[in-house]
Amino acid sequence: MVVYATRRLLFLVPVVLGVLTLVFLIRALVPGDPIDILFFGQMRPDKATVDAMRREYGLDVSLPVQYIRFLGSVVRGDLGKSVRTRRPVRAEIQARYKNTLLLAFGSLAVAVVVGLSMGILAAVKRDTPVDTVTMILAMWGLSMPAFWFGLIMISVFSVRLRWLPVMGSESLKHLILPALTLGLIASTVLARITRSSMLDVLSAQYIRTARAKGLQYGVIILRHALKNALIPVVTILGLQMGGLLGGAFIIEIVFSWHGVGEMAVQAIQQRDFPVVQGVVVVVAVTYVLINLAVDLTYSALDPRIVYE
Amino acid sequence: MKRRWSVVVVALVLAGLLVAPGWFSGQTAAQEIRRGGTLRLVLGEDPDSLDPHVTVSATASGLQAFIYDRLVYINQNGLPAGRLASSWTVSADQKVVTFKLRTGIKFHDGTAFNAQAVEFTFKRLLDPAQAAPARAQFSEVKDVKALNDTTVQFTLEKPFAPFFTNLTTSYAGIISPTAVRKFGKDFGRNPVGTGPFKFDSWIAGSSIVLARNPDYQQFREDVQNKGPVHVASIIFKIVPAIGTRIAAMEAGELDVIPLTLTAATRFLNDNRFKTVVKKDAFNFVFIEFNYKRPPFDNPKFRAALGWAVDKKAIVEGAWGGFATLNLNPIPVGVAGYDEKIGKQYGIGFDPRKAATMLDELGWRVNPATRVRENSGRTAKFSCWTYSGFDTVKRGCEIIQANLKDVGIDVDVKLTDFGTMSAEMPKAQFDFDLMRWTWAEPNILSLLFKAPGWRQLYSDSELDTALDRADTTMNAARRLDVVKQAQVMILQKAIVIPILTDWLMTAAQSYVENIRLDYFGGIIYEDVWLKK
Repeated sequence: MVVYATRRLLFLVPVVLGVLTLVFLIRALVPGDPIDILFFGQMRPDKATVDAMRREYGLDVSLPVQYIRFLGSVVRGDLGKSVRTRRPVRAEIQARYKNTLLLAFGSLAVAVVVGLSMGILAAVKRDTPVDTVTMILAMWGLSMPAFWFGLIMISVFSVRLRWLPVMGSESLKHLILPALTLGLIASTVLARITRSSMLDVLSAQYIRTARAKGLQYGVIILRHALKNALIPVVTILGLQMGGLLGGAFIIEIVFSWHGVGEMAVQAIQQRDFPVVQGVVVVVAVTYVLINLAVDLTYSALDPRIVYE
Repeated sequence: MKRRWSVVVVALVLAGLLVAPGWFSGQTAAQEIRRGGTLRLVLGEDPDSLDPHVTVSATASGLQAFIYDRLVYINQNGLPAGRLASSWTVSADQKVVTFKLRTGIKFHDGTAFNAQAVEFTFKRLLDPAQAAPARAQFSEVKDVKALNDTTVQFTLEKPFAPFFTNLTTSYAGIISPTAVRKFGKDFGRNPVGTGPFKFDSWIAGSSIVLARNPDYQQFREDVQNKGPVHVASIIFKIVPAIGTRIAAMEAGELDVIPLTLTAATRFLNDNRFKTVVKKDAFNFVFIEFNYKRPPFDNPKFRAALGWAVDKKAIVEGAWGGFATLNLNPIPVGVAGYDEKIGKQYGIGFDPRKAATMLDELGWRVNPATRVRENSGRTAKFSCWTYSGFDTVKRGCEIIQANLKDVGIDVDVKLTDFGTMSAEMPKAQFDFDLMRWTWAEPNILSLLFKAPGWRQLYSDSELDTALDRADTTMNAARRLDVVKQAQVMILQKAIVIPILTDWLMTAAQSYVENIRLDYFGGIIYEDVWLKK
């Protein structure tokens, strides 16, 4: 297990290097100089000022030199300095990262609770109106864009009922709407996977044996069936987490939830490349680590899976 | 519309002009003013810094105006008037301006405001090592010197008419030398001025809080409240999405928001909210050309294209009627704007005239394709504008339809502003729809003086006129030159002006005494909350 985890962690190196290279190349290919953009549509400073700013951000040297300097500084844990705020990117990300994680895990919790419940219910009540309604709801959620659903949630719960705040990330109350928005949408995939996985398991012989032995139905479902049905669900959860991190970018904007997604969208609009690069690296590393955690969870769920 | 295009609405106008427009909202003076409460305002982005010598972003400049007072302000008559300066004199050669400063004023950190602080502020702004983005606006300032505690002298390279207006911008806010020395590079996160509000806290990406300056004395004549502000504090919430801002306003989470066109009808027709509309704003929308690419190097072709464009249709169809038709190459609210110039020399809408001019230029309609051709070249061009704004996109689509009617085939090209900025100087386009905001007549120099704002235009005759406009210190005479320059720009069809869109604001019903200053900004010193 330790060897496997170490190998997977080492795998981070080429992944991060690839991500860094890709992000740098995209930055090099996209037209638009960050210093130019700072003054777009305004009186441009004199050349000496512009040159000083270019020097400050290391934009006065060739692209290969910029790339090597960029890699060197990332290795030292320095993600550069924001072109707009002139503050270290690392500090800017640190200030917001916990919000993004909070939203992603909050949404995940909603997705797990709602998705598993719907999936189990649909499987247990197979071919009944409950199953049909649950799966229609799941299909409806699957086909709904997150930003639109977010706006509907704001319209109902904030503007009309005034139960929950529209925007901000000051408290857990502010987390409810964005987490529900992302989580409910993510729960629909989980519900479908859980249902089909549960149906497979429920038709297995050991379930029939458990029933024949007179075990309570609830115990059979939750202790014997669900645990085995969870393996494909956990795989999907790992993938969903990536989706939640990505989806958070849009939802953070809609709810003004001050996470790295909101920061990244603004940085892209303002060509604040160091911030974009920093966010991409952090999100990529998070994604890889979460998937590693998911892989390690398999053996906990199924002792037959052993990592060597 | 926003940000970059709302470039520095901060403050500007020149000495001299304009009669105070009647856009004050009617106020009830008899009501008893309630002091206290927190006013909740909105920002579209986290400001980059609150150090006026580090940034020129519109968001940051807007906030700095609350914290830093300036030497002068522009009064309701469009004239410079004393703020931190009580009076001033200008030398006979118009190159030395000496300010007498008010006494007894303190910075928020308790240190005294004096001439040395003014000298420190401007020397820092002009220091090449500081690399202040706003330095270019003060490039005509050769020296700043404190003669004694209450007198400061500016020496200019040459007479520079926008000098007083530039002094009213937030870039010229007076900063506390003690605080700059104390905080160093972090001064932008710990700003200290003498303004009506002092900095309280900043949660990056989330909110900024300013608190009432209890020692504040107001010297502006256009402000009713001569003491500390009525509200206890202001919280600026950072909300990038326009839709979220609207929802937050409707849910009662914000007190005042700027109105976008999409939200305008909704709020203007809802009596739960107060609205303020300023129609003589400092922006204008126009068609500009790639002057380096034929046939757009020919003024007659540019004018023909302009005559084919239905500007009223753009006002109604693209801006929903929330704009003023403007045929002058200068915003409606800027000193020197004269509707008569637009009417006499402007390029209106006359498709028949456009067709005749195109015929005269040799661009004949091919009966088979119904598109004009000239020497084997087909009249097929593109209208370029920036993405993310429905107004300019729809504007380009109306232009496309208009030009099709006179036999010119146009496709609409949208690019994000960053790419557009980088691509424009390469001169690989035909014409574009652009919007600029600037409150000073030197907008003409910024746009049209060689090499033009995108390094594409050059005209020595116009340059001479614009130079004259920028160095004529007498306000009335300057205006005459500004008007002459506008005529020249229209006769050469350098741009096709279309409209000036309105500045609109919505507020909750309990926000009292909303008044606007010369630039259309709300005078928050007078605002109080009736709840």
